[in-house]
Parts: sequence; structure tokens; C-alpha cells
Amino acid sequence: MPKMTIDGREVEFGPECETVLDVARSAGIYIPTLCDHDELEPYGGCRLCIVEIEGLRGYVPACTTAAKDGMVVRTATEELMRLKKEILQLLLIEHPSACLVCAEWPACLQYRTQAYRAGRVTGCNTCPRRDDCELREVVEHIGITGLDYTPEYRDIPVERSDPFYDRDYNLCVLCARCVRVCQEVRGTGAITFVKRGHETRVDTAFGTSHVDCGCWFCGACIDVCPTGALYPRLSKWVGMPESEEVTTCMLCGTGCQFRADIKWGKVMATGPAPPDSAPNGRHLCVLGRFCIPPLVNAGDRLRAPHVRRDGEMVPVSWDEALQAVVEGLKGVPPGRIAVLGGPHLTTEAAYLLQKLARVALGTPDVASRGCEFASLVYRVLGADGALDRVAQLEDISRADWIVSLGGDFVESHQVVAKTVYGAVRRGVPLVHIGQPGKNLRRWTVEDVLVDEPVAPAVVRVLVEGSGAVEGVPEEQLRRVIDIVSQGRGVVLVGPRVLELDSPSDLLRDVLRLLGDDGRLVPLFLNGNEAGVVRAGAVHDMLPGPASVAAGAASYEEKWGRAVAAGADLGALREKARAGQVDAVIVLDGSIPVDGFEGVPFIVYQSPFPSPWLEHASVVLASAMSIEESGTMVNHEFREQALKAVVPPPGEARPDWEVLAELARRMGAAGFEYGSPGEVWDELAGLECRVGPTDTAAGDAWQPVPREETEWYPRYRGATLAERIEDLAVLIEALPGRRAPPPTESLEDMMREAREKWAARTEEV
Amino acid sequence: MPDQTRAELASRLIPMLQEIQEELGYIAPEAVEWLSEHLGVSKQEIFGVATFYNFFRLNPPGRHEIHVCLGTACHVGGGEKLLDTIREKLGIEPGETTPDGRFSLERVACVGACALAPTVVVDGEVHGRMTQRSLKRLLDRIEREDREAMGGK
Ligand code: SF4
Ligand code: SF4
Ligand code: SF4
Ligand code: FES
Ligand code: FES
Repeated sequence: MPKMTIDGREVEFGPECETVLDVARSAGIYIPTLCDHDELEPYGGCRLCIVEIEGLRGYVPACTTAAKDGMVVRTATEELMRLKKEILQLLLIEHPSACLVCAEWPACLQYRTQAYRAGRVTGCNTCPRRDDCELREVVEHIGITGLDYTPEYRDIPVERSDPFYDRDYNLCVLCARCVRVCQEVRGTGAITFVKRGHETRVDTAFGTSHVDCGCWFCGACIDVCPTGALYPRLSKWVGMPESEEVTTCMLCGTGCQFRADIKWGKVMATGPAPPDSAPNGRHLCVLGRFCIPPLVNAGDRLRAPHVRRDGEMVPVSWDEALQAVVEGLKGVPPGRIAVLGGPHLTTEAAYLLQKLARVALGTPDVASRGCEFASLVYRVLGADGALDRVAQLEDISRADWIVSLGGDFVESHQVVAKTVYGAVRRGVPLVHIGQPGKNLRRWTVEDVLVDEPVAPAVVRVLVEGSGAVEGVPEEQLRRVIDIVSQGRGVVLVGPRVLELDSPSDLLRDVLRLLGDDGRLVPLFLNGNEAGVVRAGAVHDMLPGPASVAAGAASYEEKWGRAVAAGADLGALREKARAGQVDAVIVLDGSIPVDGFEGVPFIVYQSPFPSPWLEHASVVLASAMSIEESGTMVNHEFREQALKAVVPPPGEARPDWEVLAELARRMGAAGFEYGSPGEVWDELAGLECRVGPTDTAAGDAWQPVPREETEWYPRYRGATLAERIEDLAVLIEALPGRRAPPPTESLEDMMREAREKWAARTEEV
Repeated sequence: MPDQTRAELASRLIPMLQEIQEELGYIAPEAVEWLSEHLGVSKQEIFGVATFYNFFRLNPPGRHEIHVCLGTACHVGGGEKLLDTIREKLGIEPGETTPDGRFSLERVACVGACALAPTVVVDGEVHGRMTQRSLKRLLDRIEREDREAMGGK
């Protein structure tokens, strides 16, 4: 093993240590750093990590110097420390640094429990990072207690007009971490260093807003900033959380792990979970990073059960409410009841929902919104015995080539996109079939520019290795065939394939294209789609999931009830419109009421109000996923744990508990669960059973309309963009980012620029 | 084309930026957008390279180009004050152009007329020993002449 001497100590190091800094850290020797960050490439910008190496002239940054056998390194000679002090002082001239060198700091920390709210950060008491400042650690280590120079405030206007976070570059120390994480890791390049030398600053092209520069508001820049320059507006003045908990985000199918910061019994902010969290590491998207607190803490959350009396909704006890449900359902024939769920239920709640329907109520009519994609994947892959072909995100990192289709995943699945970009950056070829937006176009080696309905024809040509598609240049097809003919591939299939007449044929072709080693990434749009299907809370699948044909017999035996396929959501709606439904239990307020208005008895169970409230006879207030424990199954089919990190508001209760109690009150056996864990134990062992014949006969597929395949997050009656203005601003900007690639030549462009300028100056 | 260093990007980018500047007189937002599409990097990455080199200008030259000298002699002689005067009067910073396209402002280092410090060069003509007041008068005169030239409106 190679070794080196650091400060007189002999240190052995393995190949994982690339730089002198890595070796020092592996031996527990602290070298102050500012620009270095373990997710980013070595940069050598701040020079605080300089060391002396025998045989090398001058001082070199430890973070960019390759580790070599036999080096003799000194990290803290008197001269080095003097230099570091000088470097750091120069940096502190412009950083409001009174707090860093203030003698009263310990007392201040004790008596002033948190930062003041202030328009401008001028020092410790007004800085949102007061309690966890990385710069302070470095200052303390290097031991600066006073400044030899007159501080100078840069007086740059604080940038506050963009969604979600403020940027106060008066605090910026130009470490470039934000610029690098945005370019190197997220592949966005929304920000850059402009100018040079003393004038260097972080900015966008021509100083446009972050909405216009292509920022996705993923928050990665905030998370790497060592100062308070970048800060989420909502949690800026909240101070240190009382506790931190890690749980799973349910706002899309990725199921990211995130950290919830809890104070005063509420989730005040969210941020990245520990680096090794699967599948997302430290990365989130705008939803997980910024949208959870406003959703959870919304003032209009349903807090108590209600029943309608003489046309008025009155709050009642749980006992009364559940009794009212039992009464209301009494005597309704099973064929006239509909039970409706959705993709944001926990797997346990979904399982109990279908069990309530099929066992306690005896109706086959249980359907869920937004689960078509997972259902399709289970059916096609399950019938082929190919469920193990669903990719883990690490498979993307190991791929030799990547193809994506079914929509622009940079827009809909930011965390998957970040993983893909990691591969692209290492030179893995990415081909997109469809209409990629501006950001995705920068990553691809080939854009096969076709509309969604044509994508299957392109895939077919790739599978067969020859053929033509109208509108696609032959040479391009040949190049793409070349790319996909070697090594192990990954195909990302986005939700827009659901708009096709026969997406199952496309999926089967994709599997053929992938061969045995390749992996498929089905980009589920809606939270726990996979878990809800696995729980059997859809009209044509039983728990496992098992198709009705394959599973009916065994469930009939288990439950002692006849089991049959039910009507899907559309058919139930028509049935209700025709007056053939007498009772509905609905757990997802994002299902349009349309058609169900006239149903005499409606039970609405949800954390959020929705138009269903107006028609409901009984309202049951339930918990959100962050307030209950359970399991979410993501688009890797990974089981992610949901943890109750805050209590539900008022008297709201978790869905599983409400559903189990309801079934017991109706006299059904088999609902004696003490915890969601017991529900999970019952369903976890169930096998996926889908016979090949289940999918053969065209499987009565209904194409899903575009409104439901695009990225427009909804959660059980809460439409996020209607509640979170900042998110609406981003969503409004999306059409601009989807503009097709320009076809004009350089000359055309210049002529246009000239004309535009002339027109503008004339106007004034 | 994501796997390239900033240096590699710069070496491909600079000749193209030069060509565009020669043609247009500046690097227009449309040009940055165009380059972003054709080189496969974000607008910001291109803008970062373009602003790194003083040679590139990112605003269209005004019909009247004002260069304020901030070389040593002029700096000592009050060049900054002259710059302030223009900032105040025209509302632009160095490197910018007024929205009507009439004036653009640049900072320069020594125009070789130190004896006349502080100096301001307008449309190639050197004006020496400028004061805030004489500079204001000069700008007023240009505006007046422009108005007359446009048909006395
Ligand atoms: S929020 Fe994300 S996309 Fe926006 S600048 Fe920061 S890192 Fe880049
Ligand atoms: S904003 Fe923060 S991360 Fe970005 S360069 Fe400045 S100090 Fe570094
Ligand atoms: S990518 Fe999906 S799971 Fe991850 S933070 Fe965003 S919405 Fe949540
Ligand atoms: S950490 Fe090495 S130069 Fe900044
Ligand atoms: S310093 Fe201004 S002309 Fe020389």
C-alpha cells in the first residue's frame, strides 16, 4: 500500500484517496477547506487548503494535488498558518463578518436564541445561517479573532423576486460550489461566474431571473453553499430545528428520502437526507425541497370528522362519523357501491381499502386514479416474468447507453435526471425519442424528433436493427441502431406512453430492445402508484398484484367471498351518472366529481378539502403521508418507509386505522390490525401473479389524456400549483422551455438580432 | 456535449464569439441562445466565458459611444466622478447601453492623453480637462444635435 507522511505521521492510503486532502481526511487530519465539496470535482479556488510538500516549490492546494507514494506533507507550519490567516482575512473584508470575530459570540449564542428577521444580513444576529455556518468553522480553526483590514460591504441588492429562495451575494465568498453543483451534478447550468478578478460574481446570462435562466429550483445550490448567501425564503428566520427526521417524499414515483426539520411540532423545512440514502442521495426536486411544508401546514387541512345534518356540515366525534357511514351503507346492494382510491395512499391503506370493498362490502368496484402506469408495468412485465428488469437508479450509472421516451424526464423527474446526467457526463450516450426540452437537448447525442404516437415505430426499428420511419432521417436511425447494439442499456419510459393506443406493445418492444441485461425505468408520475397496484386497489388487480384471472380462486378461498373484476373509474362514473350507484367512498379528492354529483351517499376521506366536500354526507379527516407510518413503493419497486414525523392536525387519523375500524364496525372479520406493520406483514409476502393471457386480448386499454400525463402535481384534492404560488410561476415557464430546437443559421440569427434591436430603439 | 472542461469550451467558443462580435458589434442575447443550442451548453456557461474576456461586449454599441478614462492620471484627476455624472444622467453603468440605443458607456484605461486628464472620449473624439459640468453640457449638446438631425422634432 502506498503511504505518505503528513505532519510527521505515516499514513497509508488506498486507491479511493485521489488527492492529498483525501489522504489527510482518511487519517483524521483536518485541513481547512471552503471550495472543496465531496460531490464536486476538485477546484482549487479558495486556497485555504494549501500545504507544503517536500520537493515541490511553493505551496499547493491539498484538494487538487494528486496523492503520491512517499510524499512528505506539512499542513500547519507557522508560515502556512500565517498565509491562511491572510487569505481568509482578505475574503472576510467583503463578507459581513462581525459575527465571526466577535468576542461576545458565546454569550450571544446563549442569550439570543435565534437570528433576527432583517432585510439585510449585516452580521451574525441577522444571518439565517447563524447557527450552522461552515465559514465559521474555518475561521475558528484558523483562529482569526480580529480583522487587520477595514471591512467593505459590497451593497449588492438582495435578489428576492424569484420563487422559493433569496440570493444575497453580499455574503458570497465565491467558492463556486453552487455554480459547480448546478453544472457538474444537476446538468442545469443555471448560474455561472461572470467577469473575472475583483469583479467576479455569481449570476445568470444577462442577469435574467432564475425562472428565465432554466433553474429548476432543485435547491442543490443552497445545500452546498457554505454561507447564508442562498436561503429558502419560507424557513429563513425559523432558526435551528428542534429535531430532524428522515422519511419518504410521495410527490412523485421516485420516493426520495428527505430530511424534515421540525420545530414547534410542525415541519418547517425539508432538505436532503444523509448522502447514502437510496435512491436519491442528497438530491431532491422542487417538490421535495420546497413544497412539503406549505402543503402539510396548509390552513384548510381537514381537522375533524363531519356529517351532514339538514344540509349543514357539522363536526362530530369519530364514533358518530363512523356510525353514520355504517348506517348510510346499510342496505345498499354491493353492486351499487363504488370505492375510489388514488396513488397517494400508503400501500397499507390501499390494501385495506380494497379489502374493505371486496370483503366487508362485497363489491368488486374498487378503482384508483393515476395508477394506470404501474398497473401496465405489472401486467406486461409480470406476464413475462420480467419484474426484475425494472431498474434501480444505480443501473443508470452502470449503463453503456441510455434511451428515453414518453416525455421529457428532466421536467418530470428531476432526481432521475440528475442520475442520468451523471452517466452522460462520463460519456454514456443518451438518445431521446420525442420532443426534448432545452435542458434535455444539451445532454443527448441524438434527438429523434417525433411526436409521441410515432415513438413505437422508432423503437420497433431499433429492435429489428433496420427499417424506416417517416420523418426520421435514415442516417440518424442507423446511428442510433449502432448505439443500442452494444452493451447494457437502460430505457427510461415516461408517462406520455400512456397516451398511446397500445402502450403494452411498446413496453414489450422495449424489453426486447433491452435484452437480458438491460433495465427499464418506468417513470411513474404519481407517488405510490406501484404500491397501490401491488395492494390491489385497482379494478382489475388483486393484491400481489395478481390479475383477477390468476388470483380470484385463491382470494375467494382466503376471504370466503366471491371475487371478480370491477368497473374502472370511467365506467363507474358513467354508472353513477346513470343513477346506478347509491354510495361512494372516495379517498382521493383529485378525482373529478363529475358524474358522481347525484349519488345519494358519499363518504369523503382525505387530508384536504376538494369539490367532493359539497356533495359528501360524511367527511373523514385523514393524515398525510408525513404524519403516518407505512410503506411507499417507488418506480424501482423499492419499498420506502414512511414515518410519522409530525402529528396530524386536530383529530385527523391515519387512513389505515379509519378503514380497519370501519370494516370492523360493519361486522367484517379479518380487520384486527394493531399497526400498519401488521397490515404490511399480510401483504408483503404476496406474489405477483399475472398470466400471459391476461394481457393478450388488447386488455381494453383506454388512452390516458394529456392532462394526466404531464407534470402537474396533485395530492388528494390539493392541486399544488393552486396553493403554492412559487410553484405556479415555475409551471407557467415550462412551455417556454419546451420550445423546439431552432433551425435558423448563424446568419439568420444575427439578422434577427439586428432587426430586433433596431425595432426596439425605434419604439422608444 | 457535457464532458468538456471550461478551457475546452472556451477554445471552441471564442472564435465563434469573435465572429459574432465582428458582425453584430456585440454578443446579443439571441447569439448566446443560438450558441447554447448548437454547442450543447447552457446560456450561462457561454455568458461566463464571454464576460471573462474584456474583449467581448454584451450590449449593442450605442449610436454615441462614450469611453471614460480611468487610467492612473484620469483616475487621480476625478475620472470616477465623471463616470458618476453619466450614471446619473443616462442611467447606465459601464458596459451598458441606454434603452433607446443612443448612448453606450465603457470604462477604458489610458487613452494616451494624460496631459489633458481627466479625459472622456465620445465617438472617437478626445475631450480633455473635463469637469462634471462640462461633461453634462457636452451630453446635452449631443442630444440637441440629434434632435435637430431627426427633423427638428
Ligand atoms: S436551484 Fe438547482 S437548478 Fe436552480 S440554480 Fe440552484 S442548483 Fe441550479
Ligand atoms: S453563493 Fe454560496 S456556494 Fe455560491 S459561490 Fe457564493 S458562497 Fe459559494
Ligand atoms: S423527485 Fe419525486 S420523490 Fe423526489 S423530491 Fe421530487 S417529488 Fe419527491
Ligand atoms: S479547498 Fe482546496 S482550494 Fe479550496
Ligand atoms: S490616464 Fe486617462 S489619458 Fe492617460
